[in-house]
Amino acid sequence: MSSAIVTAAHDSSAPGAQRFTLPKFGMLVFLASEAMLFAGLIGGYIVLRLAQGPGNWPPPGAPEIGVKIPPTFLNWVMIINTAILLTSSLTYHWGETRMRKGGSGLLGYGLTALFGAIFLGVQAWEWLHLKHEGMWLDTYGTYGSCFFTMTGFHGAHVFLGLLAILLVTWRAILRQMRLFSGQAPTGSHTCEELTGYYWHFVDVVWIFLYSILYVV
Amino acid sequence: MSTATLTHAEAHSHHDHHEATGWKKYLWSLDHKIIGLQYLFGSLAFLFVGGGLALLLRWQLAFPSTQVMPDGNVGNPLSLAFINPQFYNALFTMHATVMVFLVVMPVLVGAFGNYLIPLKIGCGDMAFPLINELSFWVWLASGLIMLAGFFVAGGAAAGGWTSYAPLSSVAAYNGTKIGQTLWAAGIFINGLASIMGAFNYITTIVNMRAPGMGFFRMPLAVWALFITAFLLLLAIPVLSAAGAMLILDLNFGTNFFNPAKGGQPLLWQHLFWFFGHPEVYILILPAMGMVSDILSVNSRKPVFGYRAMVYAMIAIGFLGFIVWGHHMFVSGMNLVLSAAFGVSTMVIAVPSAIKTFNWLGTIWGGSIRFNTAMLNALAFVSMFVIGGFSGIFMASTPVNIFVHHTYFIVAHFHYVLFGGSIFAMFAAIYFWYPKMFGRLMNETLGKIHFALTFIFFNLCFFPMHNVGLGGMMRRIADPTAYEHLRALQPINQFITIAAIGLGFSQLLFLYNFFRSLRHGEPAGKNPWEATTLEWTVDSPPGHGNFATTPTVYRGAYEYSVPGHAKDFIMQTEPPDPDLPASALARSRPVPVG
Ligand code: HEM
Ligand SMILES: [Cu+2]
Repeated sequence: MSSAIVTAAHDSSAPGAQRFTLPKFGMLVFLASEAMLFAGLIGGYIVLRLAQGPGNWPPPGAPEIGVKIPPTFLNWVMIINTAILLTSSLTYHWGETRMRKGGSGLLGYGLTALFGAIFLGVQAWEWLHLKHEGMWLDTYGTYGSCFFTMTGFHGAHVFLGLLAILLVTWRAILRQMRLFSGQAPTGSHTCEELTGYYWHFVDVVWIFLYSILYVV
Repeated sequence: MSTATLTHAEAHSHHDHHEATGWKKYLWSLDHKIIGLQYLFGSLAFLFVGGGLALLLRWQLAFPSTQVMPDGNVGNPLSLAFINPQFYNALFTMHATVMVFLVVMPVLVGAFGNYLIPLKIGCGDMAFPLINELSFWVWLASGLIMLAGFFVAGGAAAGGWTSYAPLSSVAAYNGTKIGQTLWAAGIFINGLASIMGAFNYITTIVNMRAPGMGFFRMPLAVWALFITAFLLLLAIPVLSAAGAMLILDLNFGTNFFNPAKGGQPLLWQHLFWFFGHPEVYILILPAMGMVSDILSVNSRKPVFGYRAMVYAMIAIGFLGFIVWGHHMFVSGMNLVLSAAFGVSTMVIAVPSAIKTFNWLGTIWGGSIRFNTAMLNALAFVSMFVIGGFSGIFMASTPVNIFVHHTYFIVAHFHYVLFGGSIFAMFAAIYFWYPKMFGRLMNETLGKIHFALTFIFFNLCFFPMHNVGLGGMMRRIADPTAYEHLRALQPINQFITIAAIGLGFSQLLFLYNFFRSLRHGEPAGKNPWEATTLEWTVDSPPGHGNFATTPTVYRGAYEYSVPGHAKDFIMQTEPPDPDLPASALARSRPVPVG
């Protein structure tokens, strides 16, 4: 394995030229762990839902969140919100591509931050709406428990991702200022790449959650 | 040997604890070796906390505070009045929690994983030093949070380390909403620390091996920690999810485990044991890896069946994820499913047996050095066999129904956890202490400590098989309250006396450990004449470990290679031009023609 990345012994303080690779690798391994966290939650959801027997999910009287044909107002809100989150992955990717080509990527990153914030805001609105309708952690048996816990866990991840994206956007602003003053942007892209992995992961998780909580 | 001269200036600074900065280094450092030592001292401290809790438990079982004496008085005259049944429950819950999450995991994975991985694969530090140091503090915080339960209203969590719902999830049942919440929060936070360590280890081992250190040249200790890291990575988050649900059920009215509102108490058991069985392999695999190395060094022979050992550990890792149901045979399980879990559990005994026979093969015909590390390693093998056997008994559903929730189980897991993991911990400490601190521990004291521990351990835990088969249930505060257990009370008192002996024998270890820091014989670089990379550098190694990145030319176990003057060849030694290359490539000694 002489091809393995070898940090120069002795200067563990200077990460060496391979610092791009190690953090990316580490992030991917970490995301495997995150996937198991959601697998645990989703597994629990499936058990609890099946235990209710057919026809009892959602329990009688609970607010309708499942997608209907034609879609209700709330359906539309969440469909659009989902589309916004998925689009934010594309804008992020676009930002990264611009950045790699020597641009700042500011527009892509900025839009991602905006979309992420909108997603969280709409989700908060949905929570309040449902709470107002009488659905909360402790109502409608395990229905409310599952819904708020799972979307809550996911929302917390989106929130952390959003903080990272704000940092990335700030770095893009700095790069853009260098560009304006005629200098080439410098510095590594590690921060952007790691945030990207995380953000795409959080998006993929949402596809699963949206499918089982709203569609199936 | 005694001139353990440290050539590097920065290496030398490691020895100077005189100035204040020297100690600060032990509070916040990015050096994997210091972090390893932080974990070592932290978990040894918790070992004595957990041991103290155990002695209180044993005292109550021998002399129950609620026992009705022949004269009609309540309370054995020798009993400790403050141990009431609820407190007893808190004691065994916290004893197990401390031992699993704050002693065995951190000492094997945190301390030895951190200390040994970079040194053994030939790199300067872990991939993410900052995350590494954070993981230590997060871990320590989790321990303090869990133990804080003793000081809140209602006391510490008391639903067992398995915290079965709904006992754990309904405050009215467990009597300590805050304590149980602190327990679950502690478990969650502890999991964060484990995951930080796990992805760090995996990244380091995959990417930072020295040139020539192929995967199949890695010492088995590194392999074991590598596989353990995967188990941590994939099993811990499921426990975290369950812990979060438990906190929500207790405090925010969710109904995950509440059958009255459609919740499923069994869901907790499935999530817990999906984590729980991989967890027991997290607790034993690093021990297996380190013991393999220690046996080989001290038998002056290569590990027997190196690749088989690796594949067996991988198999154990995989199978460990599909056997969790063997903890739930009596929880109301479909019989077909129960048979499937029984069979998969017995299948996991196959790789375990492969490892055992390979350990025997390793020492077979060797020129064995019976030093303290070796004695503890041998104890590991023999005690693990006993624990493994009782495991197979319990894996068969009909037997399990008979012994489930009895002291037979308690005997089983103490044979694998104390007999296995803790003896391996002692072996590893005696073995790597000279590398960590530059001095050897005292062998005479070490052997006395070993003999006392081994004898008292067996006197304490073997009879638990008997009282278990005699019908004694786990987790009862007063055996004398049950007609059928009264005849067993003398055995219970005997066990308690042995436990006290076992506990106090550890003071000898403590004395030896701290005395040797200053007065131990200087160790030099390679006191055991071992081949792996950590023995090529100073003891303790300087910052950055290796002056230049080492190049590895051979496997980790070249002992007693025929035709060689010394009976060991360092991994860094280039091939000998006088010998045919094929003879050197072999991992087993072969006659050279
Ligand atoms: C040959 C390998 C093994 C087999 C076949 C095996 C089998 C079992 C079975 C069937 C049980 C459930 C007993 C019951 O509650 O009814 C059990 C419990 C347990 N085992 Fe093992 N085991 C093995 C190795 C280990 C190892 C290596 C460890 C830890 C290092 C371990 C730790 C435990 C613990 C802690 C429990 C009790 C959990 C509890 O209920 O609190 N086992 N084992
Ligand atoms: Cu198990």
